Amino acid sequence: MINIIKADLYRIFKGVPIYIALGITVLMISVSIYMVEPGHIGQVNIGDVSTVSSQDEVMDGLTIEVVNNMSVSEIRELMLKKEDYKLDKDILSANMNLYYMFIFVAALAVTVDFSAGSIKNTLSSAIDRKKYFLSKTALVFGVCLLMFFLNTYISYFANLVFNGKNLSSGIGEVTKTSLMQLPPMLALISILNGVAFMTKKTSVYNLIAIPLVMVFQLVLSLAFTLFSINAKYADYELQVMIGKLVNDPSDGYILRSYIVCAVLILVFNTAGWLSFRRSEIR
Amino acid sequence: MREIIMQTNRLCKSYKKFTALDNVDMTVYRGDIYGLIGRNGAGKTTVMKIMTGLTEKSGGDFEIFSKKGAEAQNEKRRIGCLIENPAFFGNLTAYENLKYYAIQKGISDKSQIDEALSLVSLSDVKNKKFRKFSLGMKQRLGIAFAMLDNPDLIILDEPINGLDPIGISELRDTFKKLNRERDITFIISSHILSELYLTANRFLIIDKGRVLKEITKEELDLECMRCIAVKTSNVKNAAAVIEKELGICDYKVIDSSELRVYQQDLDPEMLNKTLFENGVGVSSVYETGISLEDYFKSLIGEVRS
Repeated sequence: MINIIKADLYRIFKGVPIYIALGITVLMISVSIYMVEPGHIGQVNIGDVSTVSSQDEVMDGLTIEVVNNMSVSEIRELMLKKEDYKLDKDILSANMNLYYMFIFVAALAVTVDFSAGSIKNTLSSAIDRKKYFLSKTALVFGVCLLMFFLNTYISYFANLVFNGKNLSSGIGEVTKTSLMQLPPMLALISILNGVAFMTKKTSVYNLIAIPLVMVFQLVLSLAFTLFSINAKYADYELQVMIGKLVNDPSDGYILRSYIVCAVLILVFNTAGWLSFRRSEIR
Repeated sequence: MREIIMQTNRLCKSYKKFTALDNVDMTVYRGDIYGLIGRNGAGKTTVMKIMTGLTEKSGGDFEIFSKKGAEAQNEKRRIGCLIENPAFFGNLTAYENLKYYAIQKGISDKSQIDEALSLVSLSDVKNKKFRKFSLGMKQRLGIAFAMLDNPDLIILDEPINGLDPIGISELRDTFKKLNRERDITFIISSHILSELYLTANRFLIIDKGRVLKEITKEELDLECMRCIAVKTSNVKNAAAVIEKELGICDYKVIDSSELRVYQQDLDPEMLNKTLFENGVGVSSVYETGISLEDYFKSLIGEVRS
């Protein structure tokens, strides 16, 4: 198993896509640090969405209309003076952004092997399907978690250096928060790993994985509206979970959300294995 | 007693209603260069895929290095193979692709990569990206991959596709050299009979998933060689006359009603006359001897009829 992982790491880091993914991650962090606000990629608000007018106050007596007319550097100066605001934790609350980097990783590790047909070479050696699946799964989890922790600590140190101690939580707090976010991160990775093994082709995988979260969120929004479902269930959607786990959630919420994550981890990894186990390799 | 490297017993494979393999029996001995001959869609690749674990059998058994089932899985490290079209990563060079698999297989001696590339004459282009390779170069890289880690058995599915005549000849020499010097057993499939004839020493002729014949090269030569076939109800007397009166030893009794004489300059009329004069009744005497293609067609024709 170790040899398969070593070989894949060699292959992945020989190519350009992984560096693009890492570069985008660093760019996102840089923008967040400079803007003093975390960036978001393609996320939909679900559940209770308030209507905000341009005359509503957003911070320090300033309305949206006024803030929208300020330059980036003026906004940055304002944000640096905000009290009790911890940018590193706010960046962690937007960790759903990493989903789009994780898509890269699962594609590089799993679907590229199927699409190129090179999986034939691996499976015809003394590597059985179980070992192959476990190795690839371990690789996807390992690289994604590495990106997650890199994102956490690069954000932390960059924020500390460029924005000062006032906007920083402290390394212990950041570590604790990121560990709290591990189960939903593992659930996200499991979804992508499962979809990769079920689709087995990069093009189909991308077609499903890229819009998956947005489509799911839209469907949930629709369901809440059409069936008048209690908005509190939206708290267990992964994006919301990732945000809420940053802000001192209750023990009950932690337990329930971790159960949801455990189910997702089990279901998607099992589905991926069952789909791959007896499939024809073309 | 020769060691059996690979053996199948009533091997079957079906895809829903389509039968790809139907009770295939084959035996490959150590040191063989074993040719699988058949048309496109005959089942050659399916046999190889089952041996290498890329697909599961629907019925029957097979053994590799005398091991079955889960134990056979461990023996796969002694096999190198190229199944269907060669598949590698386009963004990696030839060397990097082989290095990827060398790491996967736990091969610590990286000089084996250069050796494999050298055997297939790809050393000069080892730093060229795979996506820029011609079909023939891709094929060679696939063969180089199969040769990594000094396997005991190499399985090659249509390895000469896309190669020029010189390339084919060089590859044939390479296979024979490895077979002779390193005692590597080969299973090679092709639909180009003439080329496989020059390379293999035993053949399995397969069509529509069924085995038509398993035959050695010597037997194939005899089947195809130009000869005079004599049909008679008294084969024993005919053989005696041929030996005593004509002094010919180069003949073979096919069955109870036919024998074949392989003497090249023998006149059929003279043979017929000699037999008649010595009291041997003959129902027919005719010249025969066919090309490999005609032999193959005749086998398929026999199955159809």
